[in-house]
Amino acid sequence: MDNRTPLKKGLFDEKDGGRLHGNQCATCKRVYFPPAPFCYDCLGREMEEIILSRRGKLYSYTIGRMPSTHFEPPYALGLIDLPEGVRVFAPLIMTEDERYRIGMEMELMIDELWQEEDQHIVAYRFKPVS
Amino acid sequence: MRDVAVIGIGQSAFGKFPWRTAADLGADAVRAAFSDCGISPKAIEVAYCARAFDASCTAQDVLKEVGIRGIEMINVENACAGGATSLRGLWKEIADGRHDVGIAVGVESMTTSPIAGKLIPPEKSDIEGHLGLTMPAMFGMVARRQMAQGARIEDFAQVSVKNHHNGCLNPQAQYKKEFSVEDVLQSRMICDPITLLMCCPNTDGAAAVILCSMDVAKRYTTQPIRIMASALCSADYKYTQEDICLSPVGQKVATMAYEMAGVEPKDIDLVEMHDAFANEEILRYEDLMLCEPGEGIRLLRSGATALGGRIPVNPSGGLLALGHPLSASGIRTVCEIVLHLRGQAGARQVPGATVGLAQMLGGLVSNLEHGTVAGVHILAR
Repeated sequence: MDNRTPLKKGLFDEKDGGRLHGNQCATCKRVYFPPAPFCYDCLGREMEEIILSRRGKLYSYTIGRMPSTHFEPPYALGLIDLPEGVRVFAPLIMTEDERYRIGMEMELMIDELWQEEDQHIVAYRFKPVS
Repeated sequence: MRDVAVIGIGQSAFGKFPWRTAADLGADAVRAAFSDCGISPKAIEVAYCARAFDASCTAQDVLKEVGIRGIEMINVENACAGGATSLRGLWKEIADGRHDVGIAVGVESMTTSPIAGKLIPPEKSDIEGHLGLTMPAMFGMVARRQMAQGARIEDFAQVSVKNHHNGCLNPQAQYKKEFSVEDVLQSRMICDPITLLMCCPNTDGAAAVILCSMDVAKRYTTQPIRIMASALCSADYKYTQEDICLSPVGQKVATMAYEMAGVEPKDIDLVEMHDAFANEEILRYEDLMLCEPGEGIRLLRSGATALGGRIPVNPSGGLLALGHPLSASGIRTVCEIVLHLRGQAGARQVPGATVGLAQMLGGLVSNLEHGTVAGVHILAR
């Protein structure tokens, strides 16, 4: 399994079916994903790491019908609102019926999303809660 | 602050010309601007030039083709608002009294750029770009939200029908072809529900404007067009954009421009704007306060934004029919407003136009609002 490379370190881990790492300003409590180096809002420097909820609501979505940098069509993309107050852009799993709808309950998964030379790039995506 | 006037406008052909250099296209626009106002290139004291892709001393490269050298030249990049940024830079020089006469150019060769034939991605280092975010994907997701608020896919198609119709009346449009709502809906799907004919094409082209102080303008023309407002601003962090259908920075810049011009949205006779995607035009009606919040769809359906309507939007054909050479569009839209204010817009002329507004919005940067920079210019005769 040493040919698995995370898209970026410190964004997620694979415990409990996958977890996104955010952070929160100790002063004004604003939550960030990806983690922010300081609070963009109040400029506070004390940031606390938090693990974000695995489930959220689909804010919007689209199905790509032209290739993007790493995905061949069709591929699904969406914005997911997590209960902590962050909106995450992420690929969605491509379901056969493509029946995504706004407000749908979604769940995080960590997956190998594409390959670069001999490396499998691992990142996050969401699937509908079954 | 001094009054500043547009005295010369010029545009190159817009189309796919991979065999032409940016300097070559830019020089066409600049030559057209000089023949429009009849002044000598030697009168130019300062130049601004916008280009987004493969830029390296583009102002110098373009202007050497018309004999301009040895003056201060400033090159800028600001995504789709590059042209508006270059115009504003020049406006400031003249309004502040630093110079009397200058030229602003916007040029882009999209067909030779690294993104030719691709969906425009965010910056390479952006995680979201790697995960599949592109401009059409963003506007596909925006469109889904609009539809959840009552828009129909036919509304988006109608914007494309309207702007392509206008393009048929513009000799400089890349696409002069009428399309029906059916044609638009049946064209190839790009990012659901955005179809090919709802996307502006990749296009090469350039545009230029010559500005001078109002007192100097009177030496050269009996028809100076006054710049009533020049406003440009960058966006806030993304968490401030709770509704992706609204552009906080777009609203802010519109407000700044109306205040500076001392006019209200109802005083505007025509608008040229960033319709990179058909559904986007409807959102921008609301940012620019052409209607009440939430009334964009109703404004479109009423026909008010078509030629002959209360407030024609994109009478040129917009980015949808002209194409979108990124940095050229912000200058090209101003050229179009000037034509209408002079009464020279031919078959697409907005009758009796006295005040026009040119808007640009662009840029996709992780962690910031989508639409990362906005620019608005208001012009009057």
